[in-house]
Amino acid sequence: MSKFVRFQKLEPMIVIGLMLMMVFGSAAHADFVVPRLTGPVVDQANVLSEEVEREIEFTIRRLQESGGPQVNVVVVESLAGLPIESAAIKIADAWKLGDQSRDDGVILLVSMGDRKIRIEVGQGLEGTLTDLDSKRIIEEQMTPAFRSGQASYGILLGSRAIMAKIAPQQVKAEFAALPVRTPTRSRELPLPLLLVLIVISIIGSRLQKRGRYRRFRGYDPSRSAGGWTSGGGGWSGGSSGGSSGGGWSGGGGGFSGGGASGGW
Amino acid sequence: MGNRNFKSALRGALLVAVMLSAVGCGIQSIPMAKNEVDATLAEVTNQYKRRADLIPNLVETVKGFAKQENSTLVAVTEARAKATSMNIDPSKVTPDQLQKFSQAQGQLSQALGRLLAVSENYPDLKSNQNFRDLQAQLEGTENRITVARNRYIESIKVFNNLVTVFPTSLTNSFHFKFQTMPQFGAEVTEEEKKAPPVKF
Repeated sequence: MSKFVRFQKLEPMIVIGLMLMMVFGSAAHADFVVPRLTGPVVDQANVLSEEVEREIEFTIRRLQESGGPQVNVVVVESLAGLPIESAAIKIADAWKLGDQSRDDGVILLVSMGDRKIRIEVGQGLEGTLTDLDSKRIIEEQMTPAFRSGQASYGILLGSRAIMAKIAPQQVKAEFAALPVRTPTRSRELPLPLLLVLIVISIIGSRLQKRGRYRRFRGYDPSRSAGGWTSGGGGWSGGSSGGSSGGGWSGGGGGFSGGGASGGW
Repeated sequence: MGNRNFKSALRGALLVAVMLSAVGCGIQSIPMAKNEVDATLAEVTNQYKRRADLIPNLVETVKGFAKQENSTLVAVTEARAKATSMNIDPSKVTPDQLQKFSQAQGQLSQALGRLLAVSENYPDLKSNQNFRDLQAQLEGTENRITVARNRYIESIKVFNNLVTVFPTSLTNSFHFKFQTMPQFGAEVTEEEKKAPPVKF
């Protein structure tokens, strides 16, 4: 009952707020916030199936532990109007993936809302994973899967292709022996439903500062900084999450804008 | 004996104090910022050179499919020749040289943009693998240019702040006497700023 009363009081504010958001649109969410580097896979849009996330995370960690390059997968909900190239270099500059002397970091960035993909390649890998290679990975491996609604599978294929290119010889053989996975049913939500959920989650988070809607906090950029460390939703099942023993951070690698972009 | 020890310790402490105060006053940071400006400018010129290296191949490929676009092709070749004729030495470049360089590169960007626009009219060309590969490489290079330019602009800002803002400005006026650097990029066309469009 008291909740209902509170909601009634809040309702005009929410309506005005939503209208303002519509009017100012991008202005209200103008800034793209670089996600926190919580692990090898940062899936803010929650599109990766658990097994795909586990496999990608395992291979990325294995690759780095073997002395190879440092790869990171980032899936965001939106780029807040920023071109994906600018968003990718912002993330690259903030995370500094890869070894400081080898500059061997790679970022696979996907924005679900903008339907854009970018592979950002560290300076030291530009010869191994050329712009052309990146372009082909996006166009030939990833976009077909995304077009058929298999975002999770597309990201798996993309990260596999990237790692097949850059892995040292012995790890390459190991990765090649991994079982071939067929596309699993995507957990991707249809866009209208997603929008409804976003609105509900915004209202929900106003109503109830903490509690059962926590899972959706990531959609609210102003909260995402804190939301993902405590909110277990995005990381459920990840055996080696960001806070566990296997810490994950960049090594000071430099990027200079190499790579390729695409979309679906 | 003890006296000498004390004196050398005092001298050491003084030296440390002077060094520590020097760190904050710009005696170190101003030349470092200057070096950063030079390095980032060198990167800009490198990336432009990389783009120029791709162009002859691109022109040849387009020529194979669209001979009638001769004027556009000639415009690209000429703009490239003009842009590559300007060699700049990052540490000794004058503002005037820089502006001419940037303008020449801007003209080349425009000529290239027109070439890519007309190539849209040739389906055979668009589906040609060699052309698509070149396009991917060109997009990558354009993005590197954007990143390099932004870093150059940022490094100029840092340098100018050190030279004009107290307390480092004092060190500059007494010791280095550097001028502020003109900001790069005023003459950049809107097309040049935007990342190259990706088409499917």
